[in-house]
Amino acid sequence: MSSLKLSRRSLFKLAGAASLAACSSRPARAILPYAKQPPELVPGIASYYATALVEDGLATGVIVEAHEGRPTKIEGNPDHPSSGGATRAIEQAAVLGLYDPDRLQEITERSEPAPWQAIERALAVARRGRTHVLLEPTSSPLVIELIARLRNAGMTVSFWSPFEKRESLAGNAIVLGRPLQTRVDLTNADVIVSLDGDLASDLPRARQLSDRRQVIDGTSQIARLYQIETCYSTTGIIADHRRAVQPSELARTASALLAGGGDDPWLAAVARDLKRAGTRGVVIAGERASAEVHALAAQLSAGSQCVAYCEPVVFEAGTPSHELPDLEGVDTLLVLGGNPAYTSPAFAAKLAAAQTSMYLGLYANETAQMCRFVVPAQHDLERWDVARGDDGTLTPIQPLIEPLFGGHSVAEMLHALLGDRPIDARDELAAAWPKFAPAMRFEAALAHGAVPKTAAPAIADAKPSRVPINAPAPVAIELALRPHPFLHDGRYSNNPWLQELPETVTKLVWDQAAQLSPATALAHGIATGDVVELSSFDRAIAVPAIIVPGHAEGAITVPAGYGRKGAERVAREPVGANAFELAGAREVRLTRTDRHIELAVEMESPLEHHRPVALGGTLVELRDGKLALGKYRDAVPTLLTEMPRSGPQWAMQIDQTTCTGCAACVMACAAENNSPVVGKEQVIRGRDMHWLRIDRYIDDGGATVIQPMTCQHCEKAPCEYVCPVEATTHSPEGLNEMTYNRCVGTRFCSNNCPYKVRRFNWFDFKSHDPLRQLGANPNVTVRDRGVMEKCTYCVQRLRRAEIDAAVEHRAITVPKTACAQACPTNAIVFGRLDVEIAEVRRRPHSYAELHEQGTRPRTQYLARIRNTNPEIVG
Amino acid sequence: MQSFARVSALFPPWSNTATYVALIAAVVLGAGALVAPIVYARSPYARGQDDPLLQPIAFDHRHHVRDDGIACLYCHDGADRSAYAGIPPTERCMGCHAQVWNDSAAIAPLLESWKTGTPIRWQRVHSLPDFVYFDHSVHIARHLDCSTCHGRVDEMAAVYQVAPLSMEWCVDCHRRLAPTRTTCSTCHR
Repeated sequence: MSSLKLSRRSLFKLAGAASLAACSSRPARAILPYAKQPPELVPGIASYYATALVEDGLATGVIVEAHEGRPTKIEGNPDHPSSGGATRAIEQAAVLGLYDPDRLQEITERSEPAPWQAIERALAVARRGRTHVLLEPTSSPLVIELIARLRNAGMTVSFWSPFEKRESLAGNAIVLGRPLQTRVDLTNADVIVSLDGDLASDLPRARQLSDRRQVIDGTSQIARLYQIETCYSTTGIIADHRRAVQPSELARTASALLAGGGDDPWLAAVARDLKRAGTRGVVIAGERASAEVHALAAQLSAGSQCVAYCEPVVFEAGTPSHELPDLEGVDTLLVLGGNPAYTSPAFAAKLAAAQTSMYLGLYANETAQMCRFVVPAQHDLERWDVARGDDGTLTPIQPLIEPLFGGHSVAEMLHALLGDRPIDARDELAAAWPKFAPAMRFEAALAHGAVPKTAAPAIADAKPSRVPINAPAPVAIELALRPHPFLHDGRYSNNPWLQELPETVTKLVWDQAAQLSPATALAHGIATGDVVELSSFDRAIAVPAIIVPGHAEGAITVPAGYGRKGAERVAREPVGANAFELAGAREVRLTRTDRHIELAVEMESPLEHHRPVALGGTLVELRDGKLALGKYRDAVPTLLTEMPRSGPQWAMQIDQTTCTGCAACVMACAAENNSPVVGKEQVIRGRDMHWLRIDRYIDDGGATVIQPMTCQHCEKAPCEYVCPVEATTHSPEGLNEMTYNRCVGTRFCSNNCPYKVRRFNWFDFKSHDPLRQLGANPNVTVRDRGVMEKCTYCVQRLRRAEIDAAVEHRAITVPKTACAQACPTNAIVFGRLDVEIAEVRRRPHSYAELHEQGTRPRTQYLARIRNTNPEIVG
Repeated sequence: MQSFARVSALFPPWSNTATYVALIAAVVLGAGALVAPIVYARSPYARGQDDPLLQPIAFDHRHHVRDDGIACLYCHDGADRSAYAGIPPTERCMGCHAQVWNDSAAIAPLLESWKTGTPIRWQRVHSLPDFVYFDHSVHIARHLDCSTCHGRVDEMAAVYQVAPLSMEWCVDCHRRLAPTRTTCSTCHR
């Protein structure tokens, strides 16, 4: 070691420099340019890449925004048929999943760090023994090839995901003879009967439905939607008529519908409506409905132009390989993805008995904790792969960032298992590409994000047969085990954004709650927050209950995704139990316990309290001019001075008829605007920080109206008059601006806001984790403790558009706000008051919220219009 | 005869003066306590003006701009299209310095950076607070010369900040040249 030599002279030089530096009034801040700058990158300019996020083997095409190599925001890919430019809340939150400090960070053997060579050695042993590979459902041609090689080598392969398409394929197998996939196209649908359908999370169908339900005025011919379901869903919210039934009642209802409605006048009216619609009528069933319901729906839709059948997109879907394996005589079990130890408690026992087990996944979850070898997986934004969209469209997947924790992919593991020499993932994909898509070059496909005309072809001769379907008998209390709309089967449970996203109907965050109707709750003496025990034979779980008006009688809905026992810190936090303990049970016993839990419900009262808040009516009322919404539109006289106007006048219109309340906008807003997560306790105190919330009002008849509520950008803004420091001001473009560094936190503005859309940073809510901070949008200030904040109409996007126009010396391209861009149903329209918004604002059912306050909001609404069947009363 | 007991004065005669002085001092100090930070915040010292920073390489703009005639945008190539003007990557310096002065001790840190791939830690001269979103490209598009804000960099041995970079300074110019762009969200969001 060389000793540090410092001459007297250099010591003085250093001391002088140090004291000079100390004299400067400024803290030293370094700039670090690249040593070698990537040619496509200019610091300060975002880059966009097309890729896809995969769930249960099906890809949703997305465009990811990256700043200096850090992915920060996900938008839908308009060129991808599974997205159409829209996203769900889950896709929006995927960035936070990427920067999750709880992700697996190293290979372990029996919880001790191990090198990759240890995995290779174990796989070499596995290659010679009896090995079973358990994968998540896949549609990747690359992986399918490897599976064929594994089977040739004598290994067995199966697939598991608890909520993948299973019932629909089984139902189609009954009436079509083989498990075909139903493909629904609502473009020309007039009457849609949905049996527990979940249209809102099916992005292309949501878009088609909203296109068929555009109310221009009272004479518009729009599609009519009936929803028959157990638990209040987003599809139930937008339905014109809704009926709540036990899960098993669905099959009986469908049978009755097939028989023309029988003696039930409601059903008879629906059946007549369906018959009148002819080929433009369709009956669809949701994935949680039973196989019988799907078979009946196929029979009911026979002859409809809206339904076609194709081969399943997911590899071997609907076959026995999609059941959990027996593991009898298996030496080595490889679990590559998923979390079967949680999603199937019965399988967990078998897994524990496996001689050698290996797990590839993102988290140290229940399955990882039971496996001998654990390998960190690559996030969707970190890997090269290929998958198919829901319609079969071939979709390349490219990474946005090097694997943060050196993860491995499924293909890499299978190659190692087969004893192949390591191959670069991109090279492998590029070499195999001409085989998968001969019509499109690899680079072109990467840029596009999807290969057109690769959808699975419709099978022309698939005609459902009229085999008789038996409907199950009713039970006292029937269990409906559902994927959580945001946490799914628990795979997203460690994402705090999704945990704090209010479920549309219950408005519940952070905790699990079993939903039941007011009458069922009353019969069992249960109040919201009471912990109930649900039992079936020897299995039982205890969860808090929540009363939901409009829920089916004699049924209880339990969402999955809670009761997580892995090492993930966020997933472990919520109160709840593993609903999969009751998987397969139909009837449950419902017992109230003495325990009570305070649930974090963001909007407690579902009532409007007889005030005109979220307006609505029927199409007939609109046509006959009975809605009289004009009085909620005209300018209220004011003594206040007009604000000067110049430049584009920004405005927003929200359509309550097509809005499903899917909350993609809420998540998109949080991701775009660096909204913090506050935790359950702060939510209970009313300190949630979402700039955009989705209000839901349930009227006495159980009908729900959804109203996305955010800053209305009032022209006469009450908040502006009361700010003592002019931190909130009005811009000439009509924006109600919030200047954080001026705000002193008096909260006068929030108190004076009639819409209650301002959010105050009561504490230092922002994330201090350097990993989490990588996901922040660099164009939006991260707010500190003690300042007020609210919707800005995504002013950073407006300024970006203005600057781009100025630099390129052209007219401005109107940007979309984050909420409008994410919206699957185009319910949010943003633009200039006199151009993009002018037409929608002239519609007869446009109104201003709390119009009588004289605030003249720039954000206005289209009233909820129901296309009711005149034969159905009430 | 009436006799008066002589009572000694409670306060010495100078106490009046002392009171006056104390009162004036209190007023002056009080006003000073208010005014001094305001004056200080506006002083070139507090604003960091005219204060060349010690850089890891004694890069001389005079030589590169005046003698060699290199345009600003050759190195700061983000200025006309990005929010940031950008500091050139080591690679760009090496475009010339692989050939010229490549054995000079003055550019040893540059060669070191090129060899190891580690960035050079330049010291930031023009520093705006994080809540200010300044964009170079739109100012260049509006035909502002670099020297309007950065001064005659071609005459600086070590770059220093010429303008105060205060909000007052920004808004003054905006009021004159871009009157519609004085709303808060122009820079704060």
